[in-house]
Amino acid sequence: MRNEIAEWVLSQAAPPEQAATIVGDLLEAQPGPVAFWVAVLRATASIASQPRRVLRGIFWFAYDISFSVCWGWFLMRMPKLGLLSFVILSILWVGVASLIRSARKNVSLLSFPLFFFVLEKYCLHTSTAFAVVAALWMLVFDGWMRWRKWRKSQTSLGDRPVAG
Amino acid sequence: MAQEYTLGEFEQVVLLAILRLKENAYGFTIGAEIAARTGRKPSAGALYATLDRLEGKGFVASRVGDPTPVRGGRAKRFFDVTGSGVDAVARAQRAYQSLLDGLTLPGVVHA
Repeated sequence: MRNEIAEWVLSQAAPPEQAATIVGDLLEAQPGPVAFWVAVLRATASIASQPRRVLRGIFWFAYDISFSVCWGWFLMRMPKLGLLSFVILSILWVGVASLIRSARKNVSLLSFPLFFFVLEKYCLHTSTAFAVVAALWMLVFDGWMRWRKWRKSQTSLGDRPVAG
Repeated sequence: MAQEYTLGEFEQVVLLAILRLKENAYGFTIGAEIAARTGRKPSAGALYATLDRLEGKGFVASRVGDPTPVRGGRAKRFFDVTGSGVDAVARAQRAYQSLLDGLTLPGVVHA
């Protein structure tokens, strides 16, 4: 279980096959429990710190946030028109954006403004609601998406034995 | 004529470590060899990024080995230096040697 978690952490920065190889290398060095996790985090950080990955991450994060904020604002100000155009444009948006990102990811992004709108309008009524909801949404859905992607990549690796 | 790729210092270190290890060159042993020979332990990120880059340029080739229990059932990824990799590292070493010619540095034995 520990090794699988480490592999998942590494796979956030490296391709799954490479993550498995690196975990194997780290295990072969036979570090202590603390040293193992330090090595996993250092390896993840050093791979993730490559400039292109960081820039790509910043770009998609800005894209997620700005998209959600724009739609959330639009729905709050003009609920009827906003909702109608939201539905129409969502269909188009999913179609276009799916060319570069997974459709499932876009569906989760599209549902965020609606979630935000409902909470802001009927429940929280505070400007901090956005920050809280956005953070939770990103954590839960991004985490879930990444976990699913990782699990899928694991099964696609074939019959590679898992640590006993 | 296309300009020949100039290897970076760490790329040369990695290629030389693989050449020294022969058939037993994979992430763990390459890192250990570099640490033993140069006194600096490369991070996994730096090492694998370099190996990927070298493979992309055709200087090394990799193959997946069998899983082993000591690695938690994970396979090794072995690396070999290709002919163009040997040429590139030899060219880089000749350049260093040319720069060293006529110089006397403490602790450096000239070929």
